Amino acid sequence: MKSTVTHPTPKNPRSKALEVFSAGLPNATMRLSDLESCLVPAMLGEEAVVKQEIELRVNGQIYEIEVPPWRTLLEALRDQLNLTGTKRSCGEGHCGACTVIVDGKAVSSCLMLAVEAQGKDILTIEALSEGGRLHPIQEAFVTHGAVQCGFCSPGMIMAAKAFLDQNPEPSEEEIKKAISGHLCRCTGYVQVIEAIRAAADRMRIG
Amino acid sequence: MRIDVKANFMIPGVDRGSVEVEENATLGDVLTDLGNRAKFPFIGPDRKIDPGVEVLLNGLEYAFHSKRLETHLEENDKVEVIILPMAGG
Amino acid sequence: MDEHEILEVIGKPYPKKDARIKVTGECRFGEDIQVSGMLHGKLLRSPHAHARILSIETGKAEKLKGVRAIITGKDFPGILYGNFINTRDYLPLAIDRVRYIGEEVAAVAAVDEDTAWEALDLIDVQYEPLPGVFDPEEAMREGAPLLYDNKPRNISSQSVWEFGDLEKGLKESYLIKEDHFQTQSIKHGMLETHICIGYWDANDKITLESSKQSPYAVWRQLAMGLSIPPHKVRVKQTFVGAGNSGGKQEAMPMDFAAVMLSKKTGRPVKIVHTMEEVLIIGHMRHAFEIDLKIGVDREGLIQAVDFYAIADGGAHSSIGQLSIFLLGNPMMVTYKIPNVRYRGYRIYTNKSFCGALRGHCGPQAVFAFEGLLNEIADELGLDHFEIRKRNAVTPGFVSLNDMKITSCSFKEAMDKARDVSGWDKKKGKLPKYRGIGMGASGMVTGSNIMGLSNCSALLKVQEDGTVALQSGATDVGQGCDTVLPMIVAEILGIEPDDVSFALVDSDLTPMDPGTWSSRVTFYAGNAVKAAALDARGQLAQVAADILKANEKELIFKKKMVYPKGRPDQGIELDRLVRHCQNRKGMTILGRGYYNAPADTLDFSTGKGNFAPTYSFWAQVCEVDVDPETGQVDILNIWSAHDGGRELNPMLVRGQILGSSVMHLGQTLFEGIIRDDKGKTLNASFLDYKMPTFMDIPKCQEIYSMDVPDPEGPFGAKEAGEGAGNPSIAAIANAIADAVGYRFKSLPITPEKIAMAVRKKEQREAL
Repeated sequence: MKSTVTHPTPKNPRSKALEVFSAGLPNATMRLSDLESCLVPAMLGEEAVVKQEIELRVNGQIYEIEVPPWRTLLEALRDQLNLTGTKRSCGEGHCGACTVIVDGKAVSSCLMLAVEAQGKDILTIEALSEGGRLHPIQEAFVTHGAVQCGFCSPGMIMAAKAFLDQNPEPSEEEIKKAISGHLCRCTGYVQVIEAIRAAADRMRIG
Repeated sequence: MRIDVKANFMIPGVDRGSVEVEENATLGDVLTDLGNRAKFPFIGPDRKIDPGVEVLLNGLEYAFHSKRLETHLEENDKVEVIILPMAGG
Repeated sequence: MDEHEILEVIGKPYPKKDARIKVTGECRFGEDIQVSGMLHGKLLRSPHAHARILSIETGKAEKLKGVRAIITGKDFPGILYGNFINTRDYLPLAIDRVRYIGEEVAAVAAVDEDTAWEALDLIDVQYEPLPGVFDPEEAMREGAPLLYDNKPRNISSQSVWEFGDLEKGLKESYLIKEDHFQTQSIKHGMLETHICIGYWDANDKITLESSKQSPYAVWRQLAMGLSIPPHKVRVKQTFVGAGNSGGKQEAMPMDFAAVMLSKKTGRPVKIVHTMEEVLIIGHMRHAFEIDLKIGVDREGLIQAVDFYAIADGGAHSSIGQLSIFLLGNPMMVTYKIPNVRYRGYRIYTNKSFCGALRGHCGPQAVFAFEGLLNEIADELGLDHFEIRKRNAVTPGFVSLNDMKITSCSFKEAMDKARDVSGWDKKKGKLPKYRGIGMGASGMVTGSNIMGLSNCSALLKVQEDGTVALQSGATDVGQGCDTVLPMIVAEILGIEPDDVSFALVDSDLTPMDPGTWSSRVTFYAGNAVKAAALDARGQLAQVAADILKANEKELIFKKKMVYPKGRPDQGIELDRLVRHCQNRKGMTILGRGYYNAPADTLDFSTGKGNFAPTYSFWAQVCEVDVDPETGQVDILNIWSAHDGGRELNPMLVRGQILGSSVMHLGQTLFEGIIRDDKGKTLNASFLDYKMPTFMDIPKCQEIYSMDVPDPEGPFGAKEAGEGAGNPSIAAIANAIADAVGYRFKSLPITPEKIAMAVRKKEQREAL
């Protein structure tokens, strides 16, 4: 178990960025220039904030934004693209609230740097319903009591979608495992599982 | 003279629900004394009773007594002080 | 049954009204709100558990590009705010002393969060560390460092009461058992942290937009701490991403900081806590050391109870005076106790402080009581259910401290739990390391707490026959945004979708104490019902005239208003409303308030029926324990309850499931871990472990007695907290049954179980 050191004053963004960066490293396919742009500011003094122009493809749309290298995908989506449906909770990849779908896989957007997300297909909760019609997973969450305070719901729904798209006929155990990285304090999980099962049934029927 | 005191919290020195006070004591005098015993004031600097406290004199809200804090007390008058758990502002 | 007595809306599993906007992500929680021109604020926290603040130098931080204002405790009037006047000890920001690691000392507003964080590092605070005290027993000793000079022995508050004759009761007991129990602090665990946007305008009107579940409590406390009249404060709740009480129930330093920073900068200031901050700061469940003694006669009837507890309260009092009283309350509304002494002491320590958390000391008290009661039952050879049924409160019972039990299907709930769990087939007959256990408890349905008791509702019936409902009640996910409209819909003969539910705004919505103590359905429901009936009465008066019918014989159903028995001779509701508006100049405004039949709580005597009614819960839990690893697999939880009539069964089920799962966390693994110098070690979800999908019982069954309460709106009582009261006890008792050893300290971790099994096996081998 990794031991955690806690600070009463949460960390300076630059050191935090290096932490996020190294956490994401095993999964990151980064270009060397991105690598440099992350490390250089850490080595420069306070005055140098090197922002990078990047292109993000989110929900089928191209966005051109400027980000400092330590900006996470979560922060970029919420603060710059105003896509606030994806929620910030623990900010460390433990709760799943910030889950988006990147190239078909459920990803904790707080663990991915915005610069890392370039060239990828990003899907957020905002893209799920079409013209006011809810996606079957969203519909099932509504009708099965899977939404109480609703803060964890977007993250869970995206994870469920990524999972069901690959596993259209899951068992209850498989559903639980797939979504086990999502914390919820309100529902006690049961109605969420029921909702996902119902959604799976409905999606199979088409 | 003896005054009955009832409170929904502990006031040190209030033995068997009563206190001895001066003959011409007012309600304000008694509350000041009780506040000193309880170690927090019931009466604010503006001579108003703190909104976090309710005071009844002989079963009637103190503000309904025309002389309010200046009301002179009589032997065996009943003063009730109630601390409100969530109030004051 | 008269077709007009059939309920059209109540009792149906309507989906939660705001679920649709939440699943699309379009629902704006506090952090999602952007206000143009807003600045971002962050708080500087003390690294010391106990220290004097000698000086705070902000010059360097002020020069950082992008910083707009920095404030300290001296920017506030220095007035203590909080709850009880005799225990209030909060300051917006510490002035000359800090009392726990993480206490707020200064605040910064800057153009973005990164800059605000950076500025914190540049603020220079000179501290003089003071000796700290971290254990309540040590804190109570003579000569221990005092956190507050006017609180000798660090006693934050206490609750001491005695009824009957304890000595006599114990003397007359056939069997007396006593034991020591320990419970830990857990956090609320909501996924949404804390967030507020503060604005101080040119009229000196303060607006706080914040994730709060009791906006009016916050309204009062802000006014208190800022020393301004409440009408100068406007609190607007945002959608609440769960709360379970705690910081979302009170004004926090961040709220004060946001508005004061706004005053200094002339701009709105938004402050958001990280989850790390949430886990470090105060607001959590009290940790208890409980010494419990119960005496019974040969039949197992309770003769005497002696309950002694020390609460580790942390650095501030919060709502602790109420908490330390409440620990002693569940047993008084669960069992008939003829002689009792309760002594509870809440002690200050230099750690993050404790307050209310869903269940508010109930689950811990029940864990201890139900555990000891089982020991007694086992020694007497009495079945666990039987001993409880013999002692259970009954309708009409009045406890020694005046708790008046009205509706009560407690025994029926116990019978049901026994039946559906297969108790008789399993108890004593399960394979080794498999166990079955039960817990039972009563629960208040809303405390009527003086000072914050009034509960009211307003509604407008609109020209299209819909209703705009305003109540001061706050939805935190439990579903009052749906249930309260359901009540209106039932009374006016419309659909829940026809009733909008407003977020609480202290300038606009009527007063309500807030979401705590399982009061919303009952109290706000009754207030809303009164408001709806008021509106209906106004409409009925006009309709009676048009329809030439008796007002009292008018039926409001399916959006029509018609004389009873003559549905084809009615008028559409919307047409009636327009008639009132256009022809009579009347706007239909319904107004209602609810005054619960309850007493004032006397904290000095422990007396006072402070709830209008009580709910009752019986739970059975079956577990499988791995003797080598100590891992506990919860196979099933059966929950039978008397919660009155279920107004919305789907939402009630959600509450019960949520509460049970939350409490299995406290039972098995959850808890704040600190070093011996008051530092929180698990300030991250990696190490602060809460139940996940993989921890839930294989199966959970819920049974409602569904007996309407005479006072509750449409017969409802509560479901928000009661389910959690017996959960820890039921799981702990099941583990005791499985392992043959009773664990008296929480959490019951795999290590504790594995060690106990090993020791037991060694002893048996000898």
